[in-house]
Amino acid sequence: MLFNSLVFLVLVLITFIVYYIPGLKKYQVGILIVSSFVFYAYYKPILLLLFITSILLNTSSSYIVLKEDSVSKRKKVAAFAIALNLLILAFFKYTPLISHTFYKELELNGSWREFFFTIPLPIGISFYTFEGISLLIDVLRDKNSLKEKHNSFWEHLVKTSFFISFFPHLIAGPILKAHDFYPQIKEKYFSDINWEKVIKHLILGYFLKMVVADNLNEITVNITYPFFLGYSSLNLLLLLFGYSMQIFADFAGYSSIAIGLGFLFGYNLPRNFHFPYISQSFAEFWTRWHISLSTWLKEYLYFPLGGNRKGQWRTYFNLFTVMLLGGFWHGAGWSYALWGFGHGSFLAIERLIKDRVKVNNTLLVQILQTGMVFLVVTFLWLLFKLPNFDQVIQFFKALIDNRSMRFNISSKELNLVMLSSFVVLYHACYLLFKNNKVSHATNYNIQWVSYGVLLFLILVNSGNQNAFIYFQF
Amino acid sequence: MVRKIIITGILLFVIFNAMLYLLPIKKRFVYTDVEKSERFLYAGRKFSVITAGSSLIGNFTFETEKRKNYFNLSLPPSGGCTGVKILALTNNIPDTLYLETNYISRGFNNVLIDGLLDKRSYYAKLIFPALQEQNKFFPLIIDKFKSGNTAQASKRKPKDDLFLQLFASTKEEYSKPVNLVTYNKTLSELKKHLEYLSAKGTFIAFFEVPIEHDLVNSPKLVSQRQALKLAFADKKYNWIQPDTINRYYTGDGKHLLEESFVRFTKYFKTQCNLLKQQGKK
Repeated sequence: MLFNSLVFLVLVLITFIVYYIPGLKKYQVGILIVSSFVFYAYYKPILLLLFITSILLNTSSSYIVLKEDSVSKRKKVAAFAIALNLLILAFFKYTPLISHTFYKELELNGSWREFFFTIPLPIGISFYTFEGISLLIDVLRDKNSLKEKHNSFWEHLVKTSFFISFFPHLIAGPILKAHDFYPQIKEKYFSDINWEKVIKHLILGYFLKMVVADNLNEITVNITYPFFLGYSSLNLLLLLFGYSMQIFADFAGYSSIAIGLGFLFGYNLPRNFHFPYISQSFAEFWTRWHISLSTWLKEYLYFPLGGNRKGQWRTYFNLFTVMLLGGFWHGAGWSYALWGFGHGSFLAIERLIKDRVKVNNTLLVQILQTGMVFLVVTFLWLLFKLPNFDQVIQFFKALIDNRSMRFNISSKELNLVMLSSFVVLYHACYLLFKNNKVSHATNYNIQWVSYGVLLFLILVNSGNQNAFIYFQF
Repeated sequence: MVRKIIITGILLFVIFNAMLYLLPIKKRFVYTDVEKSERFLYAGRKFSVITAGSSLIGNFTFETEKRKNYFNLSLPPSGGCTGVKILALTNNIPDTLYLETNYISRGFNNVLIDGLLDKRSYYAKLIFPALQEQNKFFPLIIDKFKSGNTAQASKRKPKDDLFLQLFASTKEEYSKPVNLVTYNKTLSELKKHLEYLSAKGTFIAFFEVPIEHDLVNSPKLVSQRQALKLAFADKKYNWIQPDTINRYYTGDGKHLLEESFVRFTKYFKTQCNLLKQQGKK
């Protein structure tokens, strides 16, 4: 179910009303679980089977880990369950890719191997698998002291089902960590809703998605092969810039809606974006983009690999490995791996340079660094838009060959600039206001006028309804 | 704060709607099938001459200073059948309908039609024109400030690199005959709507837009043409004969380049006049 569909709004409305009925307080978690299952199963109910299997696997194994006293046994159970989680993810996500790599589809006509080409990708599997793993590691580390709180298996099952399925974050994050979320599970009251936070997050989220991303999508479609061959180099750069803005608006928009919905039901979901395009380094970029994934990778992969505690070269290797796996997490395609390889390489090289060269942090240097990081990140997004690597090469070839073509400024290009300018403005406002102290009254006035204008633009300039880009991951 | 945000948003929305009512703000060029069909539906008047078809006739115009009662219902990517169904279901009966047949086998875009004719959505868009796709805020503003004809056909040179890539995929698309089972179903539904228009007095003529010479007799077009001629063999249906003298160039195998389009428009208008004169005799 899409956040920007009418049926979703109806589901949220019904859930909201039932959730806050005073007599039903005891069942609040159950109500949200039922709604989440409806949300997940709406288009393909069959996918619920795998989803429930994943919940049961993680509930039962984490419960064993919680109740078991022997450390070695706990470790074995957790390791087994994590391996099983990854196996399920690998099977559904990567089998078609591996099959395509080793066999040609045509050769398989009628063969049993054909099955591996057609395995459907269950929506949100990467997200809920990572959340299951987070639960297992957390109970193993005893981080959230669930032991005392979850006495019965049933109670643990209910809370785990809720943690994994809570619909605002279910399909595209933010990826929750068990130790952050479980302590929040308690009775919620209508009077505690912070409406200002809810409305602001929802308006910003829907604006970024429906006004910016969905409209840009209609323009950046021209990046697809072979249409980009007919554009001048400058037009191609502009399209790529637009795609960079689109992917931000799409994903940040989703996250903002998710956070707003979380507040509506009394839950605080973690921030997923923090003005990523002002980053002055790749390391900083990954503390601002898809924060819940990068912290997950840092906490559950980078640190266990040794982080930066095992010497310089091991640090470079760890950074590279984490990003490569992060790339693979995004999609079952070699282009995603290459995207991760690119980010991993830049992170490692940047670290290597920083370890050896000291640069004065002047304003000019800061601007140059921000520009360079943005440029590299934007060019790497091309691997998301053109999953066929040959086409990426052709795009770069067109970028060089089409220099002599005239820069065309039609209404399409102007619209792209206009829509992208909101993302630029969003980042610029943060830069302008973060250090300058604006009076409370001015800040208040700027905010209600801005959000009012965004609401107006949602009503009069929404694009065609499109799925969120991150749904495919 | 929440109240102020909502009031501001709604107030701006009301002002924009009032502007659309009171000022002659209208985009000069509309492109998508939703925009085109909305423009037609909410025009608030009848058109006596209509062309229905796909993106191949997107740039076509019959309109002159004297003739303001023409509408080009070219719906990319839905095609001509959808246009005809919209005319029939909304009871917009033109005097003359020219139906482009190149993409007639695409059938009916019922999602578009249902969305367009959904009563709640129709009245909401009628009362609040700001909700119409054709009145989207930014494109409307840009259109007001951007001069020049942006609806021109492509000016690219024929046979460039892009052409070769696109032509290869068009060639593949045209290499297979149409699925006759679905196509015949489409034709019988189309016939129902055309019979209705014809019974109400509409003069109907089919025409094919010229495409790349190598594709004219491709399996797709040949099979499509044969079934179409068979289904509409009745004398009340008219046919504009294809131009066999001139050579036409396209940007991708099917969409005419600017010069060719101008030539075709001229040819088409002459043929229409001839056909009308024959009809009068």
